Amino acid sequence: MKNKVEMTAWYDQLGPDEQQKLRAALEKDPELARTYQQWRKVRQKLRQQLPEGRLLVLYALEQAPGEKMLTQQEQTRLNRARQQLEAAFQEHPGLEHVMQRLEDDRKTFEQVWQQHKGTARKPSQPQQFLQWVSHPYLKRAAAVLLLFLGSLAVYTAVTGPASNHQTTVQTAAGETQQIALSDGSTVHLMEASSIAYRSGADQFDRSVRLKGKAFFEVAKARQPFQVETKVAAVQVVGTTFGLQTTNGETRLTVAEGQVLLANTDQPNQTVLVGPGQASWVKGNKPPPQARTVDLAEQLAWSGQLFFRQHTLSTAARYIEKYYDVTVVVDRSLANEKVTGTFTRQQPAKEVLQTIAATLGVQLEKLPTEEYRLSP
Amino acid sequence: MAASTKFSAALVRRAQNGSKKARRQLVHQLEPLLRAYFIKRLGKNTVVDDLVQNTLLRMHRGLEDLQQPERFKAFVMKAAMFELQDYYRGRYKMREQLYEPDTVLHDKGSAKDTGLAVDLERALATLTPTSRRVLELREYGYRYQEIGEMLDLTEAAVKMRVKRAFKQLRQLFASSSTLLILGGAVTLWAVSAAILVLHRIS
Repeated sequence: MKNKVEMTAWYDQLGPDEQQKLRAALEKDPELARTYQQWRKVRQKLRQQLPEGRLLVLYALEQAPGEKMLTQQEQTRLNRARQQLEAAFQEHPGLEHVMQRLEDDRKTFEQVWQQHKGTARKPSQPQQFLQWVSHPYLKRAAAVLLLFLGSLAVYTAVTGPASNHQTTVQTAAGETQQIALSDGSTVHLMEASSIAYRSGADQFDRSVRLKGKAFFEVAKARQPFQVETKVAAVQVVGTTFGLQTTNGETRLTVAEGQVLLANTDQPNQTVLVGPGQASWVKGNKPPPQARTVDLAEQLAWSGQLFFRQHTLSTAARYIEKYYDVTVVVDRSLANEKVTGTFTRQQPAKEVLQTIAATLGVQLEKLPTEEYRLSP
Repeated sequence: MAASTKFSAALVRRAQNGSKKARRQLVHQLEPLLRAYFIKRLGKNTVVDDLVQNTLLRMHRGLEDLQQPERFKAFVMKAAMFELQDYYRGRYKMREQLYEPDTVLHDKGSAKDTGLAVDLERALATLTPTSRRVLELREYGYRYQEIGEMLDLTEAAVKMRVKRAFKQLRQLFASSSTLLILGGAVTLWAVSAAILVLHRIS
């Protein structure tokens, strides 16, 4: 249960009951009420200083590569506000993240547009998109699915022309591609790989066939998401996981949620793999029971660092290994627990700053690529 | 008949020129695209329907003003992104409006206390860079969980930042009021002393 200080600090996200409690607390405590009002004033003042969201959208679209996105009127408006905007970017560090978010908004739209722009067809009776999702809750879960397919040939469901509403996306050597599926899922297709699925919002059945390697970010839904290769069938019930296949073995490691794994020869003999666990399929044998693994070690190849209650000293060793830096952890902090997911694209300093901020400790960088974490 | 893309300039022009059939076709074809987009950005929740509807309304109302039909994609993209921004700000603003603390303070007759001047610039300057980021992102309407994703922090860490910022500012406010009280006391003493001296002189 939140105390008075917490309720006051987080006043902007209280539910109706908690708001009542806060009101009662403020009525009894004039000093707290005064502090609350000052806190609100600070927030309001900050809001007044920040540029309008729509203006930031225009700025983001102006900066985007490719075709010109702004009308003359919009460009004029932006030009008039440019000086103030650029001053705001200097003064408000949060704007960097807003712009990144807007860039993600834009990129997502581009992807979805590419998928849907297809061939025109006559309007039919309006269909309820996702009408099979009858359950009242449906929350988004980040799911990472990696499929490595090595020496075994993989069945690829490449069908005919677009009139069958089947889409195949293929990448060349050295190329990666991000594909937005109409159920909200995303496929990060790695190099020299391909993926096939039924396309269109009312056609996609949450089933894909993969050749090669891919990350899947699967939107959680009532209908399972299925990925098939020639040797393995994976059914996602809302997860984050990695899958790699080499030398006739398919290995599954789950970061969050649960995954059902089966050998394609024995599809009914499934193994449920939970968070922090791994299992595998080899030859014609069913997968063994899942066992607990170190995610940071097992999923390091994915380009992401998964820390799940790792001690700070252990997390520091991984960071040293992957970034080729030195990280010194004060003895008093060695057993502090770290949970978080980082991408290797983030610089080491950023990763360590995030960890330091989360734990409320100090980060010091020395000239010789050495970092120190201290209380 | 050769197949055309769903959002061809010709179709857009027909819609602009009053063809109801063309307009219905545009709306019908946009609906799944927009739905997929908002689901991708927000997850599947009840607001997606509203956002899709609002964006389609924007498109419908603004279509005549689109001077270059071949830029229909840009037109729709902006409508969708504006809708997202309005949604973020709106959900935060709605929560703020649910509680009006000024009413409480006024009822208790402490309105004079609320006139305490706060150096707001100084208040903001006391925040750590991360806390500042969190508060700024919050003012754009992002949820604490979303802010955590943006800053690669857990939601709990984000809320902790807010709480610490609140406590820091609370201390600042308290020291400001102490100084004012002390200042007031000094002034009062000085005035009292002056009156006494004048009295003695007279």
